[in-house]
Amino acid sequence: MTQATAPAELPIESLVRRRRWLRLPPAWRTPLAVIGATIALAWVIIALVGPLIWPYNPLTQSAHLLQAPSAVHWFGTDELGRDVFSRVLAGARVTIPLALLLVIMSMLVGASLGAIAGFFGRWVDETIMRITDLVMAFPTVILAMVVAAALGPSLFNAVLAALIVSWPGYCRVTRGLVLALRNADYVLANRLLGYGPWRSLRLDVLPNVVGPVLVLASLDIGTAALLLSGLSFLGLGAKPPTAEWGSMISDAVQNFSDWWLGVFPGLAIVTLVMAFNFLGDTLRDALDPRTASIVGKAEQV
Amino acid sequence: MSAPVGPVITITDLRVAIAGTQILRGIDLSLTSGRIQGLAGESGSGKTMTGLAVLGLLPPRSTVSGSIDLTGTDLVGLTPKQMNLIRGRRVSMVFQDPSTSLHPMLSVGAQLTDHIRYHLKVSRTQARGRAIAMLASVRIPEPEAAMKRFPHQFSGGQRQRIAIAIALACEPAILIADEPTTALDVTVQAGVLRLLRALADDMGLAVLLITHDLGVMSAIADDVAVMRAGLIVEAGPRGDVLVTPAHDYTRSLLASLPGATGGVSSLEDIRALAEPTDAIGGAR
Amino acid sequence: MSEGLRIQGLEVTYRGHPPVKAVAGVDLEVAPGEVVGLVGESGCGKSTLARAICGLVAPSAGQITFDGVAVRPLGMSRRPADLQRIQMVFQDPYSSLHPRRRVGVQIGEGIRVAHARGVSDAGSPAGWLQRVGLRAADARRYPHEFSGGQRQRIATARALAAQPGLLIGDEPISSLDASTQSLVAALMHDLAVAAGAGLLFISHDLSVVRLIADRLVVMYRGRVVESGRTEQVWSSPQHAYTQTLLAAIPVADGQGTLPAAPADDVEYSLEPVLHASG
Repeated sequence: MTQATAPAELPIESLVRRRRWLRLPPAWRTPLAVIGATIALAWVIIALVGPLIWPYNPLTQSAHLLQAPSAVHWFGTDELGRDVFSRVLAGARVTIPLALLLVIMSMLVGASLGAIAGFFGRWVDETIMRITDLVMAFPTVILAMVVAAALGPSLFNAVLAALIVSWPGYCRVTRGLVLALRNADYVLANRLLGYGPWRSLRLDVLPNVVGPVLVLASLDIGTAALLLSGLSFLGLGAKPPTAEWGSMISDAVQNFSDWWLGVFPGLAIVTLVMAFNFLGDTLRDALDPRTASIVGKAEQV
Repeated sequence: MSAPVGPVITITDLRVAIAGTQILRGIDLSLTSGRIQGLAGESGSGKTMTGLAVLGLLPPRSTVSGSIDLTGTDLVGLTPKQMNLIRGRRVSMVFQDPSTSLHPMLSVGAQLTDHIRYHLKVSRTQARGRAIAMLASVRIPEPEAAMKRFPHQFSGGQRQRIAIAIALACEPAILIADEPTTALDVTVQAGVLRLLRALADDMGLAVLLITHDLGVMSAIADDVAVMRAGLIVEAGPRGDVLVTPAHDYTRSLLASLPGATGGVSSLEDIRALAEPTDAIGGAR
Repeated sequence: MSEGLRIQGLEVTYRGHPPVKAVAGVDLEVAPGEVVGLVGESGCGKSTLARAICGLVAPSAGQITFDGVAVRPLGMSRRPADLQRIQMVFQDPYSSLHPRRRVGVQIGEGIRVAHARGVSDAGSPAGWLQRVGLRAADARRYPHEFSGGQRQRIATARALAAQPGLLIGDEPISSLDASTQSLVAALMHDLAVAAGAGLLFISHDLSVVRLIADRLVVMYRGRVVESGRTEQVWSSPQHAYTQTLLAAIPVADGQGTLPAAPADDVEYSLEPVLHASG
């Protein structure tokens, strides 16, 4: 008689088992989820309470130019004597809200068009999808650059340009989901009970499409942050003296040997994007009925 | 290969838990060559999990205890690498849905020969010859031409036969068939059932037939075990279990089947069953 | 006096290379209060027929009328109220109920339809749940909390709450455990007949259908090949296909009888055999 047991617990699993308040649904108990959630939460808090915690005003110039990191200026100072640490914290207040805004708007525009295309089909579908194809045919960043350049450099215009290139992705995905669902038995059953097409779309199809679209959106936050930072890096987004990570890195190119000018904003972008990517992966695993619950599988005995 | 005598697999006190939920609570079962052992039960009884446990195909986070003795080797606790050598070579499985149990993008010939060459380490020509012979033995018409075709070009019944051919290509001693005919039309099912019976009789194959359909059990199983909630509640020769069931649960399963002993033969019979709500618990 | 369902010369062709005639000329009638069992194997067109009757699929030829009203394909418009008297129970119990709505609310949709037509005592979700053998308190629960058989009962309740004149079951028991099949079939029979509705019960499994149907209709390759009173078709089938179908059914009698298997690729005559008064 042999005994085969599950592999030995990881330390984090042991911690979760002993501390009841960490008892989350299975998909959330991975190291990936915890790290992602912690970092993302940290950045959100920084964005919210920035002015209360930054040691210097991010816009205040001083005479201490291009100083290396020290006890006084943790991340050093830039070419105008501004404290880099405070500017990095301030950058969160720009990037995070705008990235979220961009994702929400792209999702609303793209998903609505995609749902209509998928549900009504025929010429409505053709029209919307050809427009989508047209926009998607352009390389994302180049199109965003063109639009931003045409509108003039400002954060608002950068968001607008990014919106124009981001909505087609949601449109395609939502259309696919809606196509799969619109012939589901329960949708048909309600049509037989007198549901008109708009009611059917609103009550039967969309609620079951929201989950995957939200996952896509959460995975997209990182991309949105990168896109906005990229536009700012190219001078098409944030205008000086706004502290924004992309423009900070752009400025750092001039003073390449002063490594702290570019590395810290760069790390900020990397950690933020990674954190939201981890969160997005976790959300996807949590919502995927196959991975979310192993017990669900056991029902198929 | 001559078939061994006596039980080829003996399962003793098999218990499986998945993510904390106990699925199998102590299963004892044995398979003998040339005999078809039926495992019956409703959804949720654990019959599919029993089959998966033998092949080490349980979902992650399962704990298994007990023993599954395959002529001397205990399958519980083998490493994945060791199980790979057993699967397909000594124990094989056929699944319910023929449209998803074959690889949609590989030709039938490729699926068969890959499998044969992996386990038997023979040359390509030998593998091909063997594959054609297998297709012929499961009565696929024009086996040579069939080798080049793809699963979607065959009917559901033919796909199930091909799945059986792949499962048996390396001459395993044991075949586990999980609801092999449930997704098939009744006329097609009849053909596949006859094939399974012939394979057991002629090749000495030991078959574990898992199904909720007692009619299918009655047609080809030699012995029947009835499962409920992770336990076997009754086991014995087919004639005994299906004609003179000893356990109430078996009786209740038979009671709603047209044509079974003690089963329904009219609408009034069914109505009599439905009320009062039966002791097993509420409307199913 | 309501006429019930009348189908004449129905054809349904799916586009493709070559186009496939799923239904190739079918005549069928279901009177109010009558139970007709429609049997056949995959590809015979029975599901397509069911969908055409509901308006979910457009016919390419022929006529479908219900109580004198012609059935029009649904397309993108709201279903007309008089056609809402045709309701359907689908095969897959796992996709026929809205996954995120409580079952009481879903049954309520059926009741709403009956009210809109002016039916005064359409019942309540709790009442309907009890009539199908579940408990009134189950109205607050979600579909995933129920077994397959229970979900089919809920779907039946939803369909019947709309007070249909015709209930179509499109293989409603095929996905259920064998031990539940006859119970659900009998339930559909009794509730439909009690409501004065016709029941068109589609199945590939004859052994259960013959216990609840007044008439049997056998389809093969898009056509009706045999039809007649159940006892007649069951005990003395005339068409070769029906005979093959009956001989292939395994019976749970413990005798070890292998069901007869037809030779591969056998083709049967498409000439129908109609029993008298069938």
